[in-house]
Amino acid sequence: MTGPDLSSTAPEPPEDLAGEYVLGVLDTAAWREASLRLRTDDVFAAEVRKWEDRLAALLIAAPDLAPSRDLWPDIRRALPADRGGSVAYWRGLAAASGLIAAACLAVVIMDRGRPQTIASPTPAVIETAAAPEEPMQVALLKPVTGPTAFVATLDRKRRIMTVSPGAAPTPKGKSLELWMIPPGGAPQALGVIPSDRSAKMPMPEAFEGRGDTPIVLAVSLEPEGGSPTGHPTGPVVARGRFSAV
Amino acid sequence: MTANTADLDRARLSRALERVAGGDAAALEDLYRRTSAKLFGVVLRILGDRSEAEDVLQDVYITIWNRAGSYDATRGVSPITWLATVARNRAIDRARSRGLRQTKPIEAAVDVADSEPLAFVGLESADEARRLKACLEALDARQANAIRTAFFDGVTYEALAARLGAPLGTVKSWIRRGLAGLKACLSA
Repeated sequence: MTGPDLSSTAPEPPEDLAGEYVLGVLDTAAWREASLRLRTDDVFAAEVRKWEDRLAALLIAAPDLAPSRDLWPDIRRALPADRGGSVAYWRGLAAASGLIAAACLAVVIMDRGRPQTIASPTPAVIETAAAPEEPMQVALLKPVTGPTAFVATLDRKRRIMTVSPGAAPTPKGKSLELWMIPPGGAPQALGVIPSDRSAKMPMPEAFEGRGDTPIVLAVSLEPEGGSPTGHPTGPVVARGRFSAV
Repeated sequence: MTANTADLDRARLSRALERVAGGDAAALEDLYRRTSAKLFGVVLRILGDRSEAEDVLQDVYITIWNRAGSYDATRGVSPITWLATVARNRAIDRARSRGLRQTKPIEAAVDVADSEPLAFVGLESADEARRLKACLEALDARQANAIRTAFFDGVTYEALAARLGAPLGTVKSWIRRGLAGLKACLSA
């Protein structure tokens, strides 16, 4: 057994980036770098998986605790009516919001950095898919109040973000406004979402160059034309995030 | 509980995941019924706030719905380990997205460090948990504590140093020594 004295005088082991990545101790820059490396370096990716497996036992040992209410009905409601699985899930979402292009694209979503094709394309194409190394990312903005979900897509190649409203109409005399909320920061207005079609906008700088992002997108209900104050004034109707699902 | 029961549980969860991957919402409900207490325990342990944890737990099952197809039983990872990892990643994403997490007292119920895992987890995972626990106990207590804290709080070296009240270099050394020690112990 290694006693405290011995352990602190023994030579320090080399950095174990995979272990540190899985523990979550890396600062933002190093973490980002490691996330990128995950996608390109199979050996590193395998190391990360090994550490995930090793440390997962800590999770298994965490005490079980029932949520204070049954969350299943809410989860069920958030699932699409379509039962066709992951492919149909995205397709259903996309179709529901008129986001046909996304349904035709191979939606490549990063699985902790490993690209995985979740939806395979039906080639009834309107636009050509982005190159595989330039994944199109999709975020579902789930309803918070009210029935409407939104789908946001990031096209990194063209540097365009598209946000499409769900089927429910915008209430009369109101507008739906999109916000970007950086971690620990104040919401920044991105513009009003038309009630009948998708909003296209230049990709915000903040989404530059990473697969995963902690930035939250939220939609609030505002007076017609958008918030008069530059800050959200009405209830948040939906929110979500581009993430490495 | 016998090994057969454990195998059965593991097989049942694997099958449920397969059906979820095929778009079977009833299978997801079955999975929710079997695993939500386990996964809620994980998420709450990380977030420390019940209502936030419940919110994230919903996300966890929606993520499972989307990603069930990427669970690969042949890789040797037990389904509950995979599910728990999804839950932890979701919870840590949330903790990070709200910025520097306020240290708040974790509810007493969550503070019980080492309760026995539920039966459905299966003997194999329970064995893994015991083994890891033994290996953590074999480490210098400060190293083990740093690893536990980092793992459950999802905090960076810097925040960890502040939390543990130790210099950054010392904390890095604890973590690196601790990781090396664990790796050696677990592969022994």
